[in-house]
Amino acid sequence: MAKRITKEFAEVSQEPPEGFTVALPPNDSIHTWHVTLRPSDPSPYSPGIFGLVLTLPSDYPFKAPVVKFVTRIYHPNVTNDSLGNICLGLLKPDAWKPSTKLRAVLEAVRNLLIEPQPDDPLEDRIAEEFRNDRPSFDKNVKFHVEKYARAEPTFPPVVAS
Amino acid sequence: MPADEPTDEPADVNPPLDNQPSSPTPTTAAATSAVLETSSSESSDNGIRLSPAAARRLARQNLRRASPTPDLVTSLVRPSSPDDLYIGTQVAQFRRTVPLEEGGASLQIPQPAGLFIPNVSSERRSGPLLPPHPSSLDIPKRYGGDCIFDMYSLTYVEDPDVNLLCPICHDPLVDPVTTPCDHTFCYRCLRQSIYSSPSGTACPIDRDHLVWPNCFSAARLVRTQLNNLMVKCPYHGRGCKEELRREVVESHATTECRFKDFTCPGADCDKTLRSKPTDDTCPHVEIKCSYCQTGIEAPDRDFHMLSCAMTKTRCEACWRLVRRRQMGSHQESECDGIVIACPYQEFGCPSRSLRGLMSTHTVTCAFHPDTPSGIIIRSQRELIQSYSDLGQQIQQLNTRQDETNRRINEVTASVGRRGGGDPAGGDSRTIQDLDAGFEEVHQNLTHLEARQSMWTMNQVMPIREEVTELRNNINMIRMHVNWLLNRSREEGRIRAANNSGSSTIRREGPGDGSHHMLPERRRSTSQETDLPRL
Repeated sequence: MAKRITKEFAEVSQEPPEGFTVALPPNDSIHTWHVTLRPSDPSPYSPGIFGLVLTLPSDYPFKAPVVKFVTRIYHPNVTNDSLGNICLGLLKPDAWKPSTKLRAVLEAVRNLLIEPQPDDPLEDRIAEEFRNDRPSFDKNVKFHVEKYARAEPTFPPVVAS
Repeated sequence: MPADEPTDEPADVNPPLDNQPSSPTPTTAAATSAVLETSSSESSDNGIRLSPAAARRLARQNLRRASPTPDLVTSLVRPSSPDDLYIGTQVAQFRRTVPLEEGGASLQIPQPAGLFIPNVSSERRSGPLLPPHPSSLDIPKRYGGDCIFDMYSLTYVEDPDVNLLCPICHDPLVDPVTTPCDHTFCYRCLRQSIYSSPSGTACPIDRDHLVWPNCFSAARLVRTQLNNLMVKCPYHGRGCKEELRREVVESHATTECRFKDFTCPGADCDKTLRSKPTDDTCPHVEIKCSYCQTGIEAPDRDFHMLSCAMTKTRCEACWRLVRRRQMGSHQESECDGIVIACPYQEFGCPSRSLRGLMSTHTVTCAFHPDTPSGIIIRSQRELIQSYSDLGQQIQQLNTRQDETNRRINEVTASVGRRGGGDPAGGDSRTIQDLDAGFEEVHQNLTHLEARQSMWTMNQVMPIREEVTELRNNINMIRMHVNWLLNRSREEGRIRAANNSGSSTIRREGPGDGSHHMLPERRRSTSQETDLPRL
């Protein structure tokens, strides 16, 4: 199904969804995408630049892709560590549909930054704060954005899969 | 729409008389003429329903004409019942695959029987599933899959309508299959999706429950549009400039395209190679198939793999890779995609479902012998069994009785023949005869008795008379004797009284000596003899 991935990459790189830029890692592995996200204004993460790594399993599109934040982010649905795992309903194994396009996945990630889902959190503490103490949450977000997400993201070297 | 030549849907042949393509290839022309020969007037909408025999004949004709090109017109027949779903056959697949091999139709399996899956769920729409193109089966390279003409890697001349794209591979649909929830995918994509779906079987778009036998081939309109898409010859990289309709590109690429083969680099070898030779040595040497150990020519290895009994191919029912040799036993005993009957069928369960789903049915099957209903059913069945046993026994008895009756009749008939008529009459007559004889004997006996008694009487009477006479005589004599005795006693007394001595007696003595003694003696005897008379 490399053909589909090529096609989708061409589509996304030619007409990227708003706020995204997509590139392939230097070793030309089409199964790993380097995505840069610049959230637009309504998002509290607005001025930041976030790097994401999109890994496509070998039996994509029958298995869901894996999206991870490279840049640390203060978000209820993203683990606040160097792994940056995202909890995205779309990508759960029992909810993944092979017909879902990667563009839709990227847009879902962007929407997650605009509208966090505190009901399905990976970081309970942040979700709690998001629900109960919004100003404090916004402050922490700004702090993290200033601390981690101001420069162009550096992507880790691709591990041959 | 310029041309509609459904060469891959022979059951739905419609006469393409008026819309024949301007430059038909030999294959399609042959197929068309065969179609015209066989069926001259049929509605193009519904498709004709050839009799299976006619369709088989048609397919065989086409195979012969089109050989060695891949035979697009297979022996597919639309199933007679709309409830029957046609899942492609190994046979059809062989027919399409094998002619690729050198020498054409080396392997023709005569029986055209398809695998008909009955209605599995009630809400499905019905329709046949056309046998897929061999490349739809996604046979791995190591089993020869890379020598199948790949319909999935074609290059299209222009971007096709987005509505004709498969949602999974984002390419124009190949062997489009529509799900019961009305989404259409490539055959291969849908099979892969079902096979790798973590939650069992779900539609790749709306995650509706999905069972493969409930899917069916997409509408003819869609297939026709797809067939008319223009593609580049797969050898455009080698220089072929052909652009053809997708429907005919396979026959072009496998037979006509002059870029398809490379000449063998061997000096005295005039054979051709499918791939570019890597060095200057002739690869046409005999090697052994690593699976079945038969000798084959090295360049034909991939073709051999597609028919070798030891290599694997897809089971069309469950999409697993199964050795060709074991396909029969696989489908018979383990394939989850085959419809089987409930194991409690013998208890009366009418349900049939896929083997993979049967376990969920058997848990709740009302005919399970351990459920209350099952126990009732079992006891009822035992009753029925005993009834039928009894019925059999009665039947046996009846036959035996018939036999007995028959024999009795035979015996009576023979008796009647012997007795000259009515056997019962004969009997009574005999008895009457006997009676009469007995009567006669009886009379005779009485008569004899009477005569005997008469005779006895006659004999006895004179004897009695004589006895009486004798008795009278005896009495007379006794009277005489008595008289004489009495006289003599009187005489004696007189003598004794008159006599004085014995001189007289002595005088008389010498003459009467003996006489003297006698009276005494006589007296004694008379006394004796008189006794009974006293």
